[in-house]
Amino acid sequence: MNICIATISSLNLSIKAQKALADERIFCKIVSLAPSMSKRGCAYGIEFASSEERNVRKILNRAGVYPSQFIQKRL
Amino acid sequence: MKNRICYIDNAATSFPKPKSVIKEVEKCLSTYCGNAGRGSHRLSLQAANKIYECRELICRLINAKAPENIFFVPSCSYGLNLITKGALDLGDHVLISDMEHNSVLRPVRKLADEGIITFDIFDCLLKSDEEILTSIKSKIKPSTKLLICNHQSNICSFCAPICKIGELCKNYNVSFALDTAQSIGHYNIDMQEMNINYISAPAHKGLYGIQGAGFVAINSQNRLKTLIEGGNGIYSLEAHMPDFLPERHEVGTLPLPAIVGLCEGIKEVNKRTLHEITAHERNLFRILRDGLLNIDAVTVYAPDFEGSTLSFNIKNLSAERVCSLLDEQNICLRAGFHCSALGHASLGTKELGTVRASFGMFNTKNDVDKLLLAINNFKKFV
Repeated sequence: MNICIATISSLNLSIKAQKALADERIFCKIVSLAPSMSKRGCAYGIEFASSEERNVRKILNRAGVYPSQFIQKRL
Repeated sequence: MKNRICYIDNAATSFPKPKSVIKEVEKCLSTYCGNAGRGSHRLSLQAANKIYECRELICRLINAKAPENIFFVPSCSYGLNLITKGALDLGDHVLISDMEHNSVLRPVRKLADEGIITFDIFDCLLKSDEEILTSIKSKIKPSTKLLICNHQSNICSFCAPICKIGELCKNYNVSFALDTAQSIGHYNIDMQEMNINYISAPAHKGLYGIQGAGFVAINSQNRLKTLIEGGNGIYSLEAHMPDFLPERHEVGTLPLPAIVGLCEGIKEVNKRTLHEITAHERNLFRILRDGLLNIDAVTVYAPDFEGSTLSFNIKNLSAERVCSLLDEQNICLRAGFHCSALGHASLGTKELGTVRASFGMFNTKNDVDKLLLAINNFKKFV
């Protein structure tokens, strides 16, 4: 399965994003970002199925959460 | 029960705490007390989720802009310092009311002593709405950036007309900061409707949490300078604090047990409703006030302003002596100046201080009866 990581930085906004997605029945997991994804050090994001990226972008936009990047990863 | 403690000092801290608060604090300490924002293992995330739940509850309670606009601080006093020192810059002018707690007066005084700001005090305590607004208008200058006002006095039950003050501040482009130490959990507060830019509140008073936490809410994009800096698990490779809320102002480990206690306390307040709590406290206030007014030796201050807090003195007995005698009968009230030099000056009790009775949702008519009986028995001292 391909996954996508939305880099958000704030843990609280990551929780907000997770709740907004859960309301739309999209599962995601909060993750600590690897140094390659966060040059500034410890930061958070959410991980979800790549197939949901378009929906996720729409829902997060509506919730006022604006990830800096959407990074595709193959498991 | 003969030796039951009769606690009527809820303005200092509410007691007892709801069973749900105690239960959740115990559960937190024994099962999920991880450190929020430190990694992404399950206990850290569980802690972070509980904290976020609390932000959401607060956001709904005060109609703040968003949960992330709520950040936790060690106390309401800390929050007021953060607002004062974070919002004001060199050359700014600030207005404070004549019933401010030292948590406002002292940081403002310090900034003024350092030559950073200037400030003026507007008339408020026991004044009419019109007099208050006129006083504010007469003291606003082009450099006035912030107005800080206590919602309810911590000496008596007088409340500032915050809707009108908020509207006036908006019209004059002055930021409005509200100290809700004695009003949160008692009165409806709506940041949007009341044009409030900043709120500071304690967890352990009207919201029935435990000591160790408070919160600040920012309504708009108002940017506050940080009061302290340090680690918070975000952008660890950078020397600066992150610029987003709430992490910008949350430094060091958050007091999770105090925050989950606050969360349950808010649920308890919501369950009972503000209306019901206020009506209950006012009823007890009236019984106590009317009983005290029937005793010749007693002076009641601001008796017409009904609410949770009532101050009085007994002729020929110091406030401290009264409280000491009451304590001997298991009755807990506070004596002194209640950290409010300004308030006592306005009330005319600067020399004496007062005995303060302050009710919470767990007080009963029996508590008031017991207190009145004890005071009636003081006649032998008077």
